[in-house]
Amino acid sequence: MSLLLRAVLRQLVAERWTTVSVVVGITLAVLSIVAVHLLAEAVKSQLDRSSPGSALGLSHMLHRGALHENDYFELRARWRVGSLASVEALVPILEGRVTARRDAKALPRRLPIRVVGLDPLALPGASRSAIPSLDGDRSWLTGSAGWISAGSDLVVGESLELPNIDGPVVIIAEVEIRSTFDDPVLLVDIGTAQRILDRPGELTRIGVLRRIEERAWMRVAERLFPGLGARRYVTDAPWKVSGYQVEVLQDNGQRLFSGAVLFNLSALSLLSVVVAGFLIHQSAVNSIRQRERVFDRLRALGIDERRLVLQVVFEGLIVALIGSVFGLVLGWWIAGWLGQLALGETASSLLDGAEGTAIAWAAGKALVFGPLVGCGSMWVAYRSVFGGVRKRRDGLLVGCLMMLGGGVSFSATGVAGAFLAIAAAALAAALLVGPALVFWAQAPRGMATLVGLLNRRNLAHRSADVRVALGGLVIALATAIGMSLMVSNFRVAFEAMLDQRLSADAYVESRVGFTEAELAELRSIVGPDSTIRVERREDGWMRAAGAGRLGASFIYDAGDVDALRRYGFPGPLPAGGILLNEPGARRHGITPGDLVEVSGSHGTLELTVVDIFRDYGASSPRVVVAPETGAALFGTTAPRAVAIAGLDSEHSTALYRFAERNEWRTRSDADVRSLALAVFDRTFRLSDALVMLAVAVAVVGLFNALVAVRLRRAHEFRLLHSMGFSVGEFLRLNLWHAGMLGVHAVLVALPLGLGIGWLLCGVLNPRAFGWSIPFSVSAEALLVPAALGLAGALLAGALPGLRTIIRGDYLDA
Amino acid sequence: MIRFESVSKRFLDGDVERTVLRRYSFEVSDGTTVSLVGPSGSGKTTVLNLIAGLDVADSGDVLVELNGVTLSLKGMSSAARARYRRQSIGYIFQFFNLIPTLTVAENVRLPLELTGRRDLEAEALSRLDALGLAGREDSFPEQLSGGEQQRVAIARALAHRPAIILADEPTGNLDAENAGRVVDLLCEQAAAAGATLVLATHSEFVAGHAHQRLDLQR
Ligand SMILES: Nc1ncnc2c1ncn2[C@@H]1O[C@H](COP(=O)(O)OP(=O)(O)OP(=O)(O)O)[C@@H](O)[C@H]1O
Ligand SMILES: [Mg+2]
Repeated sequence: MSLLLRAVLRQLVAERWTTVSVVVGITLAVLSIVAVHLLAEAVKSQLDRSSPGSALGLSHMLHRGALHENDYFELRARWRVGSLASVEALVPILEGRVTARRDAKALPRRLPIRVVGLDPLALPGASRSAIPSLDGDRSWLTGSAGWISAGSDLVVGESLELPNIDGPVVIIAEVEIRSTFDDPVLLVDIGTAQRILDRPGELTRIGVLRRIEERAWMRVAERLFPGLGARRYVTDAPWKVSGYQVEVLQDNGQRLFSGAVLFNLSALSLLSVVVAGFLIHQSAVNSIRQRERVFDRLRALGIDERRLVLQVVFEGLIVALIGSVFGLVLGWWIAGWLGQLALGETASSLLDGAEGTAIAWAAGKALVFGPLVGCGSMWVAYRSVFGGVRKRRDGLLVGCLMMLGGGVSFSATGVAGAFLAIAAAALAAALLVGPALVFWAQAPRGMATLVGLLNRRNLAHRSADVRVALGGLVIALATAIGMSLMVSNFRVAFEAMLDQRLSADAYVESRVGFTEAELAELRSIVGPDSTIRVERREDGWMRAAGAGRLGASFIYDAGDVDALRRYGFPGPLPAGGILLNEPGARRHGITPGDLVEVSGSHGTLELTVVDIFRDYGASSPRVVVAPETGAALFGTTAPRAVAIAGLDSEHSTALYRFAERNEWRTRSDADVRSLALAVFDRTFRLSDALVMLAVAVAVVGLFNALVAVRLRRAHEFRLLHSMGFSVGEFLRLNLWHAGMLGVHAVLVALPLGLGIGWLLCGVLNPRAFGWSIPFSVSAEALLVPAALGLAGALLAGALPGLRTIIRGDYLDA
Repeated sequence: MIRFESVSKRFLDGDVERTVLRRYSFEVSDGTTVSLVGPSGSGKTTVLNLIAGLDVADSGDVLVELNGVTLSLKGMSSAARARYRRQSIGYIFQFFNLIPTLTVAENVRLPLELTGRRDLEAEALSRLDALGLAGREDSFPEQLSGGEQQRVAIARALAHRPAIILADEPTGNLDAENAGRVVDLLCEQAAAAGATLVLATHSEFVAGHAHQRLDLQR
């Protein structure tokens, strides 16, 4: 074994350029896996924290007109006998506003604050640990201490005088709470809050944590491939609790959306690994072919095949281990930077707080993926040099095409089918790139100089030394093209949807619904120039012919043309017609013109789907119906949201104040829109970075292959040198060769990239997330990766070229 | 005329410095054939490389007189040496003399393209006939025997009418019959073209073809 080790190490040192570039390739690939893993963990924990239920870790709120402690106890009793499926926590909450008096020195002395009382011990475990000094300092139990929301003027240690209680309340720590209001939020025990607000025995709502069922293997799969389980956020039915209005806090649409993004990122990090595999394979083939005679001699000495294979695989293992360790360290380091790109400033703090298991998983993935790819590609390379793998290429090609056709045509193959179709297309292109290069280089052309002819023939002659690396470059570039086509089309469609949907200036929601009197008052407050659109939403069911009953949410606005335009429908809605969102339509296989049965609390109707609207981020069916239809389904209900347009700043201040007094939630559509777009852009900047990494790995692979080509052409270069070839001419020769390889890679990558873009928009996204993306081709999406590929190839050609010239290698040969 | 003026050349072999040529001087007049004889490692290739300007002397100088102008190779830039090599040198190695991706005719035409002397094409290609290679113009080097390849190399080295032909063991891997033929042809063609021929060899038989003999010791 020690002799084997010594032989392997000497080999790695002797071919140090190859070794170094393979290490670099593996490092980059492992880096992207590690960074994506850590980021996925950060994104998930950010999502857990950023829902409105926030630090409390709650998923739903239950409301009803007047709520008493006894209702809470009654609900707990129901929970205990198991009638509230998958509920993990029930928390009583009382909320109200008071004015606090601060220390003599603090300014302002009197401060309006929002008091939130709850039973911290009823919170789910994870949220309990998010509240500092909950278990250590028990003074909050006696009503002499509380927590303040982060980012307010109040500081830890300060004591507040509050109405209706004797002693002051000391602030013992800050908690991360997202509040829809600007006022500081004081978190206290429920009993304390009831005394301060003088509402003994009363509650405003009951918080719930309800978990989506998750199987153990699903959790493992999600760790292995973040985003894989995004589909679980596609829920079948809205959760109902009899006697209560259910408010959903954890927005599953948002989770589905970020799951979709993570899914993309995971796929892209795997891409780097695949490209690194190509890189290792190419350098292994070149290095083994260089040593072909040595292997023959060793065989002649009686060394058996297994030992030779072992030596080669061992080389791969050592290089891959080194690369993986580098990649792990760099990935950890770079994840923070990538996180800033994608998540903003919060990322670094999220990563600092990464739990041990996340790090262990990242390390495990690095140390498994890297060596696996390293040993695997070495073994395949050995087999392809000595075992005649090439004969199988035609069969492989046919297999790829069948997989592509099957994956696209049979939607039953689902996400896996779409994924395999993309992989098959990429593999087919990688297999064809070598023969295409030979064909292209040998195509008859007009008069050329001899040097030109020599260059062109070399392209074909040395194609075996570069074709695998070229295949890697083609895959990386095509993915860059496909991704940027997908992202640019997605962005256009997403923005168009936001423009339609979020056209109001302000949006006001009441958890329990607006009364007629409140609506009249709202109208008088926003002034005569503003228009108010009342939105009614209720949860019901729908059933398509031959399909099961599915929960759906129903929207019935004023029913006028303006309201319908928000869903891209030019119309008024014809009698008996409804609009259905795309995720709903896909899950039922519904197309415009189909009849569906819809039912609400008051009745069941059979209606025609007249149009399907795009609904990115939606996880379940949403149905737009005419107001009369809505009334027939649900009876007369109180509207729970109004959208106000044409609001000027003076009226909007008045509106916000009024809404706050009534504990209504308000938001500005413009803010939501720009926030959504900012998040979109940031996230996809990350995918750009990952694609760049994959392209970089491919360029390293090409560099490596070109070093080998240079080695093989050493005699030729010596000859040219003796014939008076100058340094500049050698550089031009090398650049020409590399540049032509780049052009060739781009030419193959362009159609493949278009195909991948189309598959992502039209096949993968609909199957994975239920939404499709209209596909159109933009010049930028094609040209930027093309230019990148060419520049990368030239760089890969210039580096070994310079080295050859500086060291004068062609003389030693 | 080629003149070595007390040329020294050292190589670093790992950490050890090896002096290959120590204050070596000689002179070769135009149009003559010179054999460079010595055991392996004595510096034959080094001398040829110094003449070709592929290497530069550590001390002393290599002077080459061409058309009445004397060039000091030591004082020239690498670009100027490349130009000099292109115009005035025809180099023949022991093996790998031909570009594998060019045909016989293309290999011979290559120096003409590099020097821009397309007018010499007919003359260069007709030399292939004289070297017994008629009909092989469109073959690729790998389709030729070793002796044939060396004869193509002669045609290539002479194509652009260089003033100096350097041949480094041109017959090293040929059998005696072929070796004799190749050396005969080489000397004959060089003499016909009026070029100075420097022949590095350790074969007394080959050295015997030359007008002048330079001995190198280890
Ligand atoms: N680039 C170089 N670097 C280091 N040492 C060199 C280099 N070129 C030549 N040498 C050394 O210089 C000495 C002379 O080499 P040279 O090739 O000139 O010998 P030679 O007479 O042509 O031998 P042979 O008959 O084997 O071809 C040798 O010992 C060789 O190792
Ligand atoms: Mg020699």
